[in-house]
Amino acid sequence: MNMFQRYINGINISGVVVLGCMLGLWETSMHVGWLDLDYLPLPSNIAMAFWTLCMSGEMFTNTIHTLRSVLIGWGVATVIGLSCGLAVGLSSTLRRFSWATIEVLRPLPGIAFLPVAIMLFNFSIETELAIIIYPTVWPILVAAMTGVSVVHARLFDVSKTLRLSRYKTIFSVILPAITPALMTGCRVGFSIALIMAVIAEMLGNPMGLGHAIINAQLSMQSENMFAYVLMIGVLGIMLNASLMATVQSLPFSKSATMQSAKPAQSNSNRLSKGPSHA
Amino acid sequence: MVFGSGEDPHVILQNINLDVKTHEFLTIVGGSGVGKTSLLRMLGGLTPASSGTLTFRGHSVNAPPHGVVVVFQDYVHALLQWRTVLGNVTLSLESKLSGHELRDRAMQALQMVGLENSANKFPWQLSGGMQQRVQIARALAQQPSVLLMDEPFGALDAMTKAVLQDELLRIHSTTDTTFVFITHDIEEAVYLGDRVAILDGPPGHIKHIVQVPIARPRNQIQTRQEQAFLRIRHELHDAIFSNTNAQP
Repeated sequence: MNMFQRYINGINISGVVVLGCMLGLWETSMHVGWLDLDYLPLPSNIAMAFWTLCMSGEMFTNTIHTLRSVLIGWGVATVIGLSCGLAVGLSSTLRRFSWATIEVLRPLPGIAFLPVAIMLFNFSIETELAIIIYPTVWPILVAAMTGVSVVHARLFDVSKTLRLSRYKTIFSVILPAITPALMTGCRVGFSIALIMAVIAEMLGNPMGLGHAIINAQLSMQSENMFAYVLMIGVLGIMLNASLMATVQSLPFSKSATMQSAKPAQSNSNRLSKGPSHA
Repeated sequence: MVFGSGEDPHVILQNINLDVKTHEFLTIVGGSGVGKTSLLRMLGGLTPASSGTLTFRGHSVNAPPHGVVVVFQDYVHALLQWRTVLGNVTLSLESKLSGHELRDRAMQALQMVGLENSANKFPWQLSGGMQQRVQIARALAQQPSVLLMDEPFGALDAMTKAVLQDELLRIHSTTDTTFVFITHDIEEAVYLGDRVAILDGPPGHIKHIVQVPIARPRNQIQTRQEQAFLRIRHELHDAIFSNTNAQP
């Protein structure tokens, strides 16, 4: 089966039909007059606006800005979260000293730091990145930390009896063993990064999709507003899909998922036939 | 050896006095909970002894010594499921060897356990017996002077067990490796061992050591019918269960 066929087969037709019906219902109810909101545009108008924005290049510029911020922020957060999570997970001393700090800082909503960030970095990309990185670090850090704590004790025994170096133990044994847990954290981090990017652009850094929504709102172009919202949704789906594709292409994560799916054959079949869990 | 501390520490092993000779096949037999695994972990340098001395070639053991490798019972957890069979075997060699040397050494170890044709499979694609062979091959690739085996065949069926026992004896005869093999199976202990030590407990202590003067190579059918085999089996059985019955 080639890639295209697999892609077609992967589309959840019933889901698409429901989506289409809802859009149709929206369109008709506006025409008939069931829905009467001044600034609610027709789906067809939104599609038109989307197309116009794409053509003018505005959509592209804004999307690239947001995408770049999300990727940089998420990348930095992954490096920080993974290294801190590994360190805290592996060292009980470090855990004892840092646990209280983590538990205090983790639940703090990142958005609360926006005024602080604006004061520190002004209305700039630095503000945006700070606001993205802070809350994105936590799910990745916690995933790495708990991942290490559930690595089977036998693997540590094996590393010891084979006299593996500390470096080798971390990179060849622990890191692959925590990859499934880590990926969950990274995916959660990804969606947080996107949310925070949009908020930061609305309030802190006047660029990108978030700022474009605010601009459209101020100039009362509601169909442009919806078009940008739609783009953020598309961006989210695409980012998640590419992350999943990357994960599946990693050699060890593939075998790890297959191994966990092996005892329950029916389960793995169900997963492969269902819609891709975005 | 004492586990825990404070008011009520748990004494696991006591008065263990044991010498293992080079190229000897020593089997240690005992029931569950007598400290077999604790003893082996101490020998392998995985658990420190709380008192007493433990030496390997004159040096005291407080970390896994060079040339001493433990083979665990639970091969599923002991193998790296995301690595191929070959990848598991090369794991410990990658920092010392590379390229052809690495591959040759690993393949040689796989050949010793008859897995050269499964080198590119993943552990979860293999049967339990084959997975345990991978673990043994991984240990052999280290060219160990001592192999410590913790009930390695405990989770395997009788037929696979018999085949692996013979493979182990063949490896013992073709290498200089010393074996310390823990089991709860008396017959297995006699069949494999030059000496059988009975561990009793708790707290675990060596109750009795029996020499096994049965010629090698041994055979699953003939050896197990020999008078000496039956006599030693009887002797071990009596020694293990004599005290248990007397206990209140």
